[in-house]
Amino acid sequence: MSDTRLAVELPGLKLKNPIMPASGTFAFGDSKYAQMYDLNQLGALITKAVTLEPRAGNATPRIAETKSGVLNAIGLQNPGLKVVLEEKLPALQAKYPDLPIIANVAGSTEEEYVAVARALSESKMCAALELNISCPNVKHGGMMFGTNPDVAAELTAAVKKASSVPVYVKLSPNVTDVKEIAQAVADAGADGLSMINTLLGMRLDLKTRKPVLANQTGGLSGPAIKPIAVRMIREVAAAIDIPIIGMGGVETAADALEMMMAGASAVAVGTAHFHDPLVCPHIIDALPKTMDQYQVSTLQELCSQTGQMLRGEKG
Amino acid sequence: MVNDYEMTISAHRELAPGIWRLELQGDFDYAGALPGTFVEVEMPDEAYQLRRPFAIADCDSERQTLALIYRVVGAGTELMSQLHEGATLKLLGSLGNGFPFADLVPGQRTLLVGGGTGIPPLLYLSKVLHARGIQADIAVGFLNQESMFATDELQQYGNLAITTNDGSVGIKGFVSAVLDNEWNDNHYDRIYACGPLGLLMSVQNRYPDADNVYLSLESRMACGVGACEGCVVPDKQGKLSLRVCVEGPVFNSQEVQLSV
Repeated sequence: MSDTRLAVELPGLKLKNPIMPASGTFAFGDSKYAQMYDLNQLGALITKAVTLEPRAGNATPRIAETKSGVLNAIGLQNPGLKVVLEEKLPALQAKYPDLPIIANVAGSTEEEYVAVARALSESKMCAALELNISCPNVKHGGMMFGTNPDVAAELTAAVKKASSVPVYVKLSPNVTDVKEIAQAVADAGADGLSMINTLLGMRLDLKTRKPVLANQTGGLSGPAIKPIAVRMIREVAAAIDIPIIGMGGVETAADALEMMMAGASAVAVGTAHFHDPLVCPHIIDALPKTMDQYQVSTLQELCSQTGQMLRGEKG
Repeated sequence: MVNDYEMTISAHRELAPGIWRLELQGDFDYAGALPGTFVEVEMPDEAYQLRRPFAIADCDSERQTLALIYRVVGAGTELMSQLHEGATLKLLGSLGNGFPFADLVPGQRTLLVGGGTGIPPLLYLSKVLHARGIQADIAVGFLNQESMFATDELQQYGNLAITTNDGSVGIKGFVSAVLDNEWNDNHYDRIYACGPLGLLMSVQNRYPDADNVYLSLESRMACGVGACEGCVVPDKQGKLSLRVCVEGPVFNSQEVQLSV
C-alpha cells in the first residue's frame, strides 16, 4: 500500500518512497530476493554495475566479515552491456513497468563510460544513471576517476553529454575532501550525487599471515560506516545544492531518516540485505511509524526543511 | 517457496566436540528442502552482517522440523552453539540446487563420499535414497574416533565404511583408500561427494571422465540468493562463472574446476 507521506522527487525520479537497493547487492532485480516480495514495493532499484564487455571479476575469496561490516572485492563482475540491454533490463521492465530503474555505469576508460551511458539512456529502460567513479576493487577505472576532481569533472561532463537521462555521480569516501569532488562533478553538470561508496579496507588471516581477500584490499560497508556516510552527506549537502541519494550502513527506518536529516533526498540499502533479505520492505513498512515518532509529516517536507536549514548554515 | 523463516529451536545437542545438531521447528519451505540444499542462518547478534550457510541435514515436513549439523569454527557459530531450546533463529531457505536423485530407480547403486562437516547433507541424502529403495555405499572420513558423528544413522541407510586419519576407528587414512581398495570393483549409477577440497579433488581425479559424479562445494558467501557474485567458483575453462549459492552448491564434476 502506498503512503503519499513517503513520496520524494529527485531529477528523473518520482518515487513513491525513498528506499532502493544499492548497486551490487541486488543484481538486476533477478536474484531470489525477487521471489520473496513484490519489487513494486520499492521506491526504485539500482542495478549492478554495467560495463561495455562482460567482466569476470576478481579472484576469490571476495568476501570477508568484519565487526559490524563486510569487506568485499567482487570486481564489478557483470554480464556486459549487450546482455543487460537485451535480457536484464527488458525482464525488469516487463515485470515491474512502474519501478524506476537506476543503471550503475562503470568502465576503464572515459570512452567506455560514455558508450555504456549512451546506450543505457537511449534504451529508455532506465530513469537515471548512477556513474560509478568510486569502486575501490578494480585496477583500472573505478575509484581512479573519483579521487581527482579534474578527472571526475571531465568524465561527468562527457557522460552528461551522452546521456538523455539524469546522471547521479557516485562518490568515493576515500578522499581527503569529498566536497571538492562533489563540487567539481556538480559544476560539470551532474544532476545528483550518490554517496557513499565503500571505504578501502583490509583484513589479515593470522594463520596464513596473508590478506583474507584474494584482492588483498576490499571495500568496507555496513553499519560500521554509517557515521562516515552521515558526516559526508551533511558536508556535501551543506555546500552543494544538488540532490543526494544517501547510502552507507542503513538497516532501519530510523537510519533512513538520519540519512535524510543529513541531507539525502533518497536512501539506498546495500549490505543489510545480507542479514535481512527483506530489509527494504521492512524499512518501507516501518517508515510511517518512525516518522510519527520524530514528528516528520512527509519526507518531501523533511527534505525541503533540511535543505533550507543547510542553505542557512551555508550563508 | 524461498523466504526468511523464523523458527524455534526444538533440540540442540553436541554430537562430538565442537559438532552440534540443531533441530528447528516451525513454518519453512519444506517442499524445497531437498538433500543438498542449504539455509542461511542469521547469527543471534546484530554485529554479524553475514548469515552462515548450512546444508540441511534432515527434514520432516509432518513434524515441521529441520535439522542442521554444524561445526563451531568462529565467533558466530560459537554464539549459535550457546542457544537453548525455545530460542528462535531466522533461516533464509531453501537455497541452492541440491543433489540430483529423482531419476534413480529402486535397485540402482550409488556411492556417497563424505568428510567431516561435509557429511550432514549426505546423511539426509542417504535417508532419502534408502526410502526410495536405492542402494548406497557410504564412505565417511573423520579426524579420529572423538570427532565421529552420525555413523549410527548412516549405518541404517547404506553400506557404511569409516576411515579415520589416525586409524582409531575403521580404516586408517582418507576415504579415497576405501574407493581404491574395498570398493574398487563396484559399479555406481551415481556418485556424490561433500567434504574438504582434498576429498573432492580425490573423487574428481578418480573418475576423470564420468558424467555421473556430483560434488557439493562450499564457498565464502554473502547473499545466498545469486545477487552479490561473492561465492563464485571456476568452471572447466577457469572462468569464475559459477555461483555456489545458485548454480550450486552441487555441481557435476565435469563442469567445475577445483582449485586450492
